[in-house]
Amino acid sequence: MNLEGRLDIRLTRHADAPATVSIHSTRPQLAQRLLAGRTPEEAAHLAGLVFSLCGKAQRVAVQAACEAAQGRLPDPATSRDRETAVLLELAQEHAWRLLLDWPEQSGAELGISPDMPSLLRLRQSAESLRFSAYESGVPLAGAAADPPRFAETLDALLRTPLLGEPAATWLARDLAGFDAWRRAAGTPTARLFGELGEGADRGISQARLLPPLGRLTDREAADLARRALADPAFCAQPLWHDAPAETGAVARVCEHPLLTAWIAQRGRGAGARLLARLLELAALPARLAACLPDAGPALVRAWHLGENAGLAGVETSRGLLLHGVQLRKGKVAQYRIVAPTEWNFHPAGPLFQALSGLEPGGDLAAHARLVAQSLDPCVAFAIEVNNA
Amino acid sequence: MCLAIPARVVEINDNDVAIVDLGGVRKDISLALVEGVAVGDYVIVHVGYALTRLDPEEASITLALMAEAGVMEAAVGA
Repeated sequence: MNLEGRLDIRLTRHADAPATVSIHSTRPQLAQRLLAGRTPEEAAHLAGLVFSLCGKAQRVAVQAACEAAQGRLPDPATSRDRETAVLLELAQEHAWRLLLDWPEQSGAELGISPDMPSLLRLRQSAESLRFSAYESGVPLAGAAADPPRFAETLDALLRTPLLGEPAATWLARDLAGFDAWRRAAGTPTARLFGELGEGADRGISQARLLPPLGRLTDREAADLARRALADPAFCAQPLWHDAPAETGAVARVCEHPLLTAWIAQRGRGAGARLLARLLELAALPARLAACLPDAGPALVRAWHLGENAGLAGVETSRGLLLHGVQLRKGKVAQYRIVAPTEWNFHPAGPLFQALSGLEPGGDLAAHARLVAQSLDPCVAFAIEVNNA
Repeated sequence: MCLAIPARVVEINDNDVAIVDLGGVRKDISLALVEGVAVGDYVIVHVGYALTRLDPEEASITLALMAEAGVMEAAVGA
């Protein structure tokens, strides 16, 4: 019994040709079934409850989409609370990738194991922020002039074990400076990057990047919503201007000079995606400590699409999450979710491109696992390698 | 978008490892990322790690809501 579906990634070796790849998803499209007939409040509560990894992003997306459908805008304090909740969830997911998944996958030979205590500390600091804000009744983002505990905890975690130096210093490094940091191997994360080397990145995809939320035009948003609401199949295999696209931290921070240089010289593969997460995470304490979660790229946006229809976009650690809703008499008539996993694991999308054309030698399964993990599906995945 | 289906903790071993029961299926999970979990509690699990602890009352409310919303049937049938 697999309740949430999974991804099956099959690689086939050919004697005299590159390996071929197929990606099959059994993820159920639950939004309509779950949310139809609910009021916006019920729908938001349910979405927050049902989705474990991105529950806050899902709840915020329902709230924003339904408000937009009703032609309403949240007040500034509510917007800030939502952005903070989304940012904290995003940070914890990035930390999970960097401190747990990556060491688990690639750290054994380096003697690097998952850093559970650091991750637990971060998760606990997020909880304390949430509870203290609720208890005091003070809006989260405006809670205090003191730097929030989460930002402090994250800052400490960036120094040790992630960066080994202040985040601002690390963020100012160019590619040569990054390579020097990596070669100095002062932290487990630097040593993990060391394993990726200075040659071509692994698992390069040429798929277009989905624009970050702040860059999505009104026309593009309306088009995405129209397609999603009209066709559930679009939600399962979404397209951007008729082609698959990649979403995630790499799409949001691809203009950071260090990442731009990496992509130009080494390609946009697993290393670029991991670097993008670390860049994004390293920039968060300053943003959070300033109590100005909206002092950066947009994390939540919504569009009123007329006739009780709305679209919301929320940036999550895995990429852009889109919710489209059509209300009728104050209740959900149609609901569609386009989740980041559906973009990145599209049968002809970034993972497919990254794994197509591999030479049959080498450990194909390990390579595929590294690349799939770098695209970070929100469900389990299985890799199978066969001979033709 | 992984589903937050509560799984009941039936046994806790050394090293933060627990056995949970989810719809009659038992599996080992890590408790390294949650604190204060006891046998009989429910946890939300993702790829082998407990993410959140729920007491039995919270879990039964969640499970009832999910059943009412048809999540369980939809997911099983998929």
